[in-house]
Amino acid sequence: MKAASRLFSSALVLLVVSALLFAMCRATPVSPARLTLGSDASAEQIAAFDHQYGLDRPVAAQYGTWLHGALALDFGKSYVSGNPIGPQIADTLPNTVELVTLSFVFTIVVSIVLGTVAALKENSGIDHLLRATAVVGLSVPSFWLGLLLIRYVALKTGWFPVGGLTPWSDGAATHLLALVLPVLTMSVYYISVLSRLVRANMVDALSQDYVRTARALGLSSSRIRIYALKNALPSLVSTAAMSYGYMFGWALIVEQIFNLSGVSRALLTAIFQRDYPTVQAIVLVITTIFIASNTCADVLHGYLDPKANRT
Amino acid sequence: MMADSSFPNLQRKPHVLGAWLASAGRLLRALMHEPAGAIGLVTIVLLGVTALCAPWLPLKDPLQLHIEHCLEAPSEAFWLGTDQVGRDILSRTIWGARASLSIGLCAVSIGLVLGTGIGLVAGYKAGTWLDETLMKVMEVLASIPLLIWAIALVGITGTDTLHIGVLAVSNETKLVLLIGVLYAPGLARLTHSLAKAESQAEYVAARVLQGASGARIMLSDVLPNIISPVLIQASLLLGVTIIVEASLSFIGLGVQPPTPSWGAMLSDARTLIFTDNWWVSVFPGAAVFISVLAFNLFGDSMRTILDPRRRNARAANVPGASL
Amino acid sequence: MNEALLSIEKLHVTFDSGKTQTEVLQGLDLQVRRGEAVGLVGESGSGKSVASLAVLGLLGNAGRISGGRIVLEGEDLGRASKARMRALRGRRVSMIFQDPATALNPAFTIGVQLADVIRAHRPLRGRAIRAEVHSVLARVGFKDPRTTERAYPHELSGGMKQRAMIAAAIVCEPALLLADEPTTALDVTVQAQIVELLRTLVDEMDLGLVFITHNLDLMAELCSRAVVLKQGAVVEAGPVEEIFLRPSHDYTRHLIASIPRLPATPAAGRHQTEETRHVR
Repeated sequence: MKAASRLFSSALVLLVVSALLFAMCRATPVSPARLTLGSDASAEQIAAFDHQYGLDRPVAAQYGTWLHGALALDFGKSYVSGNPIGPQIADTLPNTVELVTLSFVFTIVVSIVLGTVAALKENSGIDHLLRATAVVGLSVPSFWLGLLLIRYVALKTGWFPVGGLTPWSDGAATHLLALVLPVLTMSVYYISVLSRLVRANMVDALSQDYVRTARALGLSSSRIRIYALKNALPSLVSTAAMSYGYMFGWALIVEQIFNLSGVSRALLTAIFQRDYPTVQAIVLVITTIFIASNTCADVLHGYLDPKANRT
Repeated sequence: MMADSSFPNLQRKPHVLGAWLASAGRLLRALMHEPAGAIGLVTIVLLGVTALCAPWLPLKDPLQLHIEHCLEAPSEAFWLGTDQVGRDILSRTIWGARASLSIGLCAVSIGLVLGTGIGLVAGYKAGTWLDETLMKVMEVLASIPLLIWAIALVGITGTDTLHIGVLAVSNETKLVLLIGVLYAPGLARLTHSLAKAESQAEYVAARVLQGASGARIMLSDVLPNIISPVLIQASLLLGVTIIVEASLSFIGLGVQPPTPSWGAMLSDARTLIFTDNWWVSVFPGAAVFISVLAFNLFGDSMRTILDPRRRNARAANVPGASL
Repeated sequence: MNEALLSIEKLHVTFDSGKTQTEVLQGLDLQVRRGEAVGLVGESGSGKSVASLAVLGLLGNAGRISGGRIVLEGEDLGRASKARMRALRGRRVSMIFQDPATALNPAFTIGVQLADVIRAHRPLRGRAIRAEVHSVLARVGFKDPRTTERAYPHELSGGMKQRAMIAAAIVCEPALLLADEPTTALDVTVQAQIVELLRTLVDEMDLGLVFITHNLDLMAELCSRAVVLKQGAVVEAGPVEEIFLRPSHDYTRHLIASIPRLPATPAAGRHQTEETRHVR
């Protein structure tokens, strides 16, 4: 089955990428031992440290051990704090996933609506306005937008908090309110990209012969819209699914701006503290999500487009 | 059997410099009909020229502190105001363009050379193990999320300049290399499908019969005919790179101080967000916005101009095709 | 019935493109009765497709009726509202198009597309719709309607796609069918089958048929009367035998003469193949 072979090849890719990641994380200018123990540590202390963390073994063996652990979701312990890394990620990752998922859903809905409207009213005033807005949205850097939103929306109106995130337990409303501006900041770029795609695909679909046939047979406008949409959808879905993975990168920046407690905080703290195992683990997790969303994109595309299923 | 003019589809398509200049002229004329794209191109040129000539322009020193003038609103002395240590924002914005544009150009060039090269070879040799291997490598690279790995790379190797043997690798160089390499898969995929299709053309078969080597055919025949969409994609990537670099500089992992960069300027402005010093955050942010917008407008217009369907659609008025 | 099902009187259609206006159809007269097949013949650009699109009100934004009338079952279509036109399309008058490969929606199964036509015009539900779908598929020649209704258009051959197209057009039992070059994109053997199918339907359903084509042979097999168009103007009209035996216009003679014929002698045919064998 096509999906199974795609999954298998993605798993292989993930393996290769994890090796690359491991290699990159070994490129530290100063050894972890020296960093943790200080520059005046003795040779024995360094040797002991290296032995404790298995850093004196051959690189391939280290990689093997790490990978084996990672598969069991055991990412080892941080050199700096001594705490296990897994729980650290488990604490912060859900917030990031929530931010990205909310942004993703919002993006999809708005893109389909805007793109379809623009396509149905092709070349009208509304269409030109939407297209101009999309180009602007593509060009605005998210961190600048975030800052502007904080300054001119949160601060001025007081409707939204200027930063921070209260947990669900303290109230769903406050929690979600805090996410409104971040979600908006994350979504602007992708709404611009996807709505343009929807528009282009719909315009293309509406000019196809089968739309003329549908009209000739007396189908209603709403049914015809669905006829066109279903053809416009496959490439939208696959691009959108890929965007999910890309959004994680931008989520890191947005989290920093809005001071949200997500994976970016753990990552940047780890970087600041030179905590390489943590950095490695976090990057692996996010990369896995990235590869998974790309694979989903491919599989979904094959599923939605009947013609693509012929192997 | 030499190709001659009585078999038009076996003729080599022209690729000499004169022909390219002629097409460039045609494109520029076409651009006149796309006002947005023309504005984009003009902005890009202005930006590039300004950034290039920055050292010779009558600007204040971007690194010079004027503590006595810190956080002054735009005035006669400081056209765009000053930041919290009294540095002139106008000159820093213009100098910041140098960082953004140079990183953008280098990264995209690397991606272009790598991606186009690999895509071209793989597309020309479509179906062989070389094709499969090359595209598999590209697939692996495409599975690497850019921003996170850039953050991790800088995080691991530190923001200081590395000294590997005799090479001094600055932070910017590291990023340029990483970004360039990670741009390659997208460009490779595009080039690959274009090259594969173009290689099926009859004139390519004729060239093979003439005894031309694969490399010659790829470079002199196939490449010039497929390069346009790839270049458009690259120009759009320039815009993306500016945002990526600014974002990285914003969190301190990009261009290192004291070199001025738009992202770093905005990061400095972050602490002032609750004050009324709007000029510290508006100008650098606007600079990024305008640059990226220019590239997007230009790239979009070029795409419209080069899309054969749109050219035909503009002429015809297909009955029964509209609402 | 003797009165005309469709009566096109001095129809003029104009296309606006920018500042220029082109009169694509200049005074077409055409009558069709129930149970009658009328041919509309001409080369590309003669305006024959435009005529049928005008009947259905599908000229789009650039085209408009600039003169004349179209009367369907006594109703002046020029006065009909958009909603009325939509109600008529597929129900009283249907159209099938030239390229079945693009005329059907690739994203939906045949069954769904047929069901949609039924749902648009008749208040049937669920099982009743499925029964209708099976029945119409069987009628157009599908041996296994259950399999066909689950198939996507790209899974069918050209001829089967056109049959499915015809099924969609007749499922609500219209009185008039406009067939715009339905055989042009098909293989020669399949062309004959489709024409045969159309003839059967005309007989069984008392269907009025306008058969638009540039293929005089096929038209002659199916139609009793014909109208010949040249660049938007009628050059010949009347019973088919008359047109073939006593063409009154040069253009008609030219069309008849250009019908491809097999080589006169078998020897000539053999000679041709030998020559072709030497060229790579």
